[in-house]
Amino acid sequence: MSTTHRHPAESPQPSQGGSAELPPNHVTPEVLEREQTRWTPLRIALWVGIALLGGVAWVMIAFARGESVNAIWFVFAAVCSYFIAYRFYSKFIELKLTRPDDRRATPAEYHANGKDYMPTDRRVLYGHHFAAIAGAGPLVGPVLAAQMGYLPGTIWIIVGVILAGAVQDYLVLFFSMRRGGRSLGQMAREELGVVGGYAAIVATLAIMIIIVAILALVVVNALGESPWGVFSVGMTIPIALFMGVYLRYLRPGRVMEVSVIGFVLLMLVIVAGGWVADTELGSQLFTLDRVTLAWCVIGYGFVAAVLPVWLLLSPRDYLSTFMKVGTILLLAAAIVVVRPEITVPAVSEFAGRSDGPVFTGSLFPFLFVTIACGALSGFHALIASGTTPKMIEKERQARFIGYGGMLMESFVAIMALVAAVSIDRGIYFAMNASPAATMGTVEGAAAFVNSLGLSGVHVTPELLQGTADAVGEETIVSRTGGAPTLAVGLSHIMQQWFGGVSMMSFWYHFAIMFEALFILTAVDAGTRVARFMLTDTLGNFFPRFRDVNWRTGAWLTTAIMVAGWGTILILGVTDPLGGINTFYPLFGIANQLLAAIALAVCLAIAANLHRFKYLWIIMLPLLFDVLVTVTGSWQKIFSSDPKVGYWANHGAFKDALAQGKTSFGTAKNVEAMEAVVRNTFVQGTLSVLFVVLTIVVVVMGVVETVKALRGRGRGTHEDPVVESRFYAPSGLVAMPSEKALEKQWRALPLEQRTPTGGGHH
Amino acid sequence: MTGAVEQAGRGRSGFLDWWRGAVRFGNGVLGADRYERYLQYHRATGCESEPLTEREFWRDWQDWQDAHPEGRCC
Repeated sequence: MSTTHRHPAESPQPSQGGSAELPPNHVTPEVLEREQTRWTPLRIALWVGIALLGGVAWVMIAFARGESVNAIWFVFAAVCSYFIAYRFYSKFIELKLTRPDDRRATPAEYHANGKDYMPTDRRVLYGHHFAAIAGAGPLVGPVLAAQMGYLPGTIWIIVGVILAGAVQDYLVLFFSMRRGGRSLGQMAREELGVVGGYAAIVATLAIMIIIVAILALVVVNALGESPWGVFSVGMTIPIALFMGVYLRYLRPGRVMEVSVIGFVLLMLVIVAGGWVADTELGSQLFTLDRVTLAWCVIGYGFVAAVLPVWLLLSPRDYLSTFMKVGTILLLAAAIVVVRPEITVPAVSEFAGRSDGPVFTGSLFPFLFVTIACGALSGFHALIASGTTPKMIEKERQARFIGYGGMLMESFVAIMALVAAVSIDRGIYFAMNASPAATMGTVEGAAAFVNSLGLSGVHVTPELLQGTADAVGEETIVSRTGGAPTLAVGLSHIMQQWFGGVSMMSFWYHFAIMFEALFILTAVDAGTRVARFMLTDTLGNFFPRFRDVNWRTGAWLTTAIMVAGWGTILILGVTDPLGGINTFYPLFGIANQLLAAIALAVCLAIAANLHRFKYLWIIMLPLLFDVLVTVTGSWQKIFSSDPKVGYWANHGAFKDALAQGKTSFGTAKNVEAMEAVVRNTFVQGTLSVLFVVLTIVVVVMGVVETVKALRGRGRGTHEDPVVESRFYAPSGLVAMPSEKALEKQWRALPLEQRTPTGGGHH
Repeated sequence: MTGAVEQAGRGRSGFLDWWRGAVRFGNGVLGADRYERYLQYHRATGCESEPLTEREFWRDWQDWQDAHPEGRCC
């Protein structure tokens, strides 16, 4: 049964010529411009105030060299910079590059079908878009990057989002909206030709596999040897199943109700996890080593991707969205209320070296790939094309949703960074150094961290054990991956607001819970999306794969995808060099390479629109991104330093094996040495694959741009213009003229102002 | 929702409005208001046939979702 109706003849919509009956579909741009940008004394005072506050905040975190700096300055520096960027830079991009036209109907209007094409209130869509783009990424990257001190990470997160990340999100969203909500892959094929198009699709698939694998690795590392975490996160599966059955059979449509019930159950299992972990049986049952856990996640990923979505995937998504919006607000409020003092150095000893224990490689380029989500995340291009553009009411809203949504994610990254640097530096390094370095014991970790020679750092085994006890874990040594560190930081901040030290273990597992929830949602949704991309691509050669009801095909393609990320996950979990430390750069590089692809597509589109004078808006982030990722890949492939280069390490271990050595570096036996040889081979091969594919796409983008410059462009692939018969204001706050027009529209009967997609084409 | 914000200063009823706005926003972000919006859409299309019942609609929607996965980012 279909809910789609196309009955133009019966539609009560007025005919094209009869638009005189309707109020105007847009505010005259000149009027709107005047209202938005006219300088009144109040506005001047406001923006001078914002600029001054932001400036002072930047000085405080960048130059003040006192004992400590208060976390509130990070909030001010970030928020003031975002306001200024949104008001001035994104406005500039709108005026010069995108030039939205509210007289044009959006796909949500002319394709309206009551399903995916559905005009959605801009503020609701903002929340929806944010929940789709933000997850564990912005929470993890900044934590790892804190190794170099807080300043490099803070600058990259804020400057990066303003000039790169938010620009990418906005442009992809806008261009996809002009193309009926087409996906990035489809746009690449249209704009870059067959070679560029296929390279983009293969790159996207490969990159999705690595991203899902590394996210899963983060979860496994956070839950390994943690009965409390395993129990409470494991219980989310029965909770989601219950919610699914509830929504399917008991009370269909009560989404908010079931989400609240799910949330309450979630809190219960977090508390219950503590009791379970305390019992003999519970601790035996739920203390799982990482390899077992990795297999559990692989099994879960497969099952979740082949089960009907109503049973597991969509209820889990409701829960995840509910938690996402809630915890972000909670985290922001906590930082503002508690205002922790930050005592770590602005620029640490490791900023100038390439042998950091958390991730190896020099600040340039590896800081810029370690923090991907929050500053520039290519993965967003997959959401900003395809999903969100089908829901935008008016073209002018794209700036608020695309650019503004990404600013919010950047703010999440800043908060994660603050949480990570608010904990003792010794504890930070003990948690994030690989088990090979710390031996996995408190004594080993204390000895290792103290041997790093960091100023003001002295940890004792008692301090490490005491922290572990406070958060209700057996140990916090070598809990790599970023999630546990963030959880310790968050519990440290939250307990000062709610509950004191006795609540630390609750807050720790609360943080682990939401990170795991976000990641598992990304894992199952990612597997599903990747499976559909694969069936689509295979369908070109074997038409049978196009049939969505062909179960064997669905199972086969799901199995291929799960095998892809599962292999990398197992390699990561068993990696003698620590897993995250060697695999995480691949995650960042992959994500940034996807950004390069997205920006290259945008460049070709903008050039074909003949906006040559303003191409620098795209070229600036594209150039920097290509520079970062190609240098990063280059070093990972060609560096002779085995700490940095995958192939150098591969060669070193191969030679050692050939010489008959039985231990080498941190690998203590032949088996471990063979594992290093294998892993570095996989990592090295993937690096080569990613960088080659991306260079192909970027070169095609540049070729198309040059063609357009010479007047031999492909022209535009935008959908034909359809006159809009609908109106909604553009930004978060409606201007007076927008409000007045909105009022006129509200006075109309619902039938006349609800787009049906029917009478338009 | 804008209405709710404007009236926030009017004591109890202001708070109620604000709360209703917040709930509406939450429902929107979660996608809980889909049926309501479908009814509105159905009415606007002027389609003669009866709209789906709530139960039918959600079942239809869930089955549709099965074939149209939506990505979730990191």
